[in-house]
Amino acid sequence: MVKKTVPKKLTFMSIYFLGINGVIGSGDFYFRNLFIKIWIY
Amino acid sequence: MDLLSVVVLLSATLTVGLIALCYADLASHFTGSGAAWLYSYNAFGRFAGYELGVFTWFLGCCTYDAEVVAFLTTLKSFIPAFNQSSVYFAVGIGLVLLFSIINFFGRALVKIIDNTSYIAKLSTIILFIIVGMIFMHIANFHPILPAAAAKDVGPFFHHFGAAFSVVFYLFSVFSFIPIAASKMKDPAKNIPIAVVAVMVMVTILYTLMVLIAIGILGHKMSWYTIPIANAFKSAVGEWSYVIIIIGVLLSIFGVAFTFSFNTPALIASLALEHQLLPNWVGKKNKFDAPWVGIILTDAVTLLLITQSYLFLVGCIVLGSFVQYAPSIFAVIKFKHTGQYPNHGFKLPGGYTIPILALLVACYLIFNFTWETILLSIVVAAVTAVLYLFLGKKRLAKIGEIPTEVRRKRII
Repeated sequence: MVKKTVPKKLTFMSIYFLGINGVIGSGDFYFRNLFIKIWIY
Repeated sequence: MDLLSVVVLLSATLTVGLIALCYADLASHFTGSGAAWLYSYNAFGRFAGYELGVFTWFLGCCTYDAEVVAFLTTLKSFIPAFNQSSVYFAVGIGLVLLFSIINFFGRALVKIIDNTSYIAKLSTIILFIIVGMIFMHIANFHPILPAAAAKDVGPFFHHFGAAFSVVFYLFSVFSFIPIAASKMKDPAKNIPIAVVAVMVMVTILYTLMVLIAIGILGHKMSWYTIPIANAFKSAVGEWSYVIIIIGVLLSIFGVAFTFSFNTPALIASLALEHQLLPNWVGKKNKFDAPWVGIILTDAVTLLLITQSYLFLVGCIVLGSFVQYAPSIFAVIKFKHTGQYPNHGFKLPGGYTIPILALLVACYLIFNFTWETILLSIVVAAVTAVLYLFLGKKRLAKIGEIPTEVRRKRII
C-alpha cells in the first residue's frame, strides 16, 4: 500500500521568521541613504 | 545628524502598523492563500479580486527588480567595472536567468538559499548593533531638525512626506505574509499574531540601526551608498566594511531569490487554485515548477531592470497603496455585515483603526510620481481589458461564488 504523505504545515515560528526575512530586504541597507538624502536636501 | 529622522521612522512605523492591524484582522477571517486579492474577492467580487491578484503579482515583480538593482548597486560601490552599463545589465540579466533556471528544477534549493540569507542578514544586523554601540558619539545627534525642512511649514511637510514614503516601503512586504495561508498551521490564529510580532521586531531593529548609524557617522551619513558599511569602516576598520558588504550581498541575493520563486508561484495559484487566469498560466513541469509563471515574471522583471531603485521603490509604494485601500474597505465591510466571523484576532475599537489606516494610505497619494501613476494605470487598464477576453465561459461556469464559500462547500 502506498502511504499518503501530508505536506507539513508552517508553524507560528516559521511564519514569524519568514515574515522578518521578507520584510528586511534591500531597504534595510539602502533606505537610510535615500531617506537621509530626501530628508536633508 | 537630525534626531527627527528617528521620529519620522517611528511615526511611519506606527501608521503602517495601523494597516498591518487591518491585515491581521482580515487574516483571521480566511484560511485560503492570496491575502489582499482574496479579501477583496470575498468582499467586492471576482473582478476586484482579479485586478488585485494581477497587481500583487506585478508588485512582486517590482520588489524582485528592486532587490536585483540593489544587488548590482552594492557591487558597483566597490567594483568599478559595474559603472559600465554593459557589465551592469549583463550581470543583472544573468542573475534573473540564473534564478529562473534554478526555479525550473523545483524548490529543493529555495530553502537552503533562504536560510543562508536569513542567517547572513540577522548576523550582520546584530553585529552592527552590538559593535556599533561602542563607537557612537552624542555630538553626532545635532542638529535635531534638518536645515532644508526647518525653513518653513511647507518644506517641512514636503520633506516629511518624501521621507515617510521611503520608510513606508520598508514595511510594505508585511502584506505578503498571509499569501501562503493555506500552507500554514492554524492560519486564522497564527498569521495575525505573526504580522504584529514581525512589525514590532523589525521596528526595534530599524530604530536601533538608524540611531547607531547616526551616532557613528553624523552628517556624513548622506555621503554613502551603504551607510552602515561606511559607519563600521570609520569606527572599526577596513575588514569590518568587507564583512558588512558580504552580509548585505548575501541578504539581498536571498530576498531576490525568494521573490524569484514566490512571484511565479503567485500568478500560477491565481490560475490553478482560483481560476482567475486561464489554466495555461499555471502550467507546471515535471519538477512541479510553474514554468509559464516563471517566464511571465522574467519578462516583466527584465523589462523593469533598466529602472532606478528609487523608481522601483515608488512603484512598490503605489502598488502597496492599491492593495491596502480595498483591503481596509474590506475590513469595514466585514465589520458592518458580520460576514465571515473572526477566528483568533479581532480588531478592537470598531471602525476607528480602519478609518485611520485609510487616511494614512491616502496620505501616500501625495507622494506618488507621475511616472509610477502612469505605469499603474497602464497595468490596471491592460489587466481590465484582458479580463474581457480571458475565458468568459470558464468564469461563467464557476460563477460569482466567493472562494471561501466554495471551499467550505467542497469540504
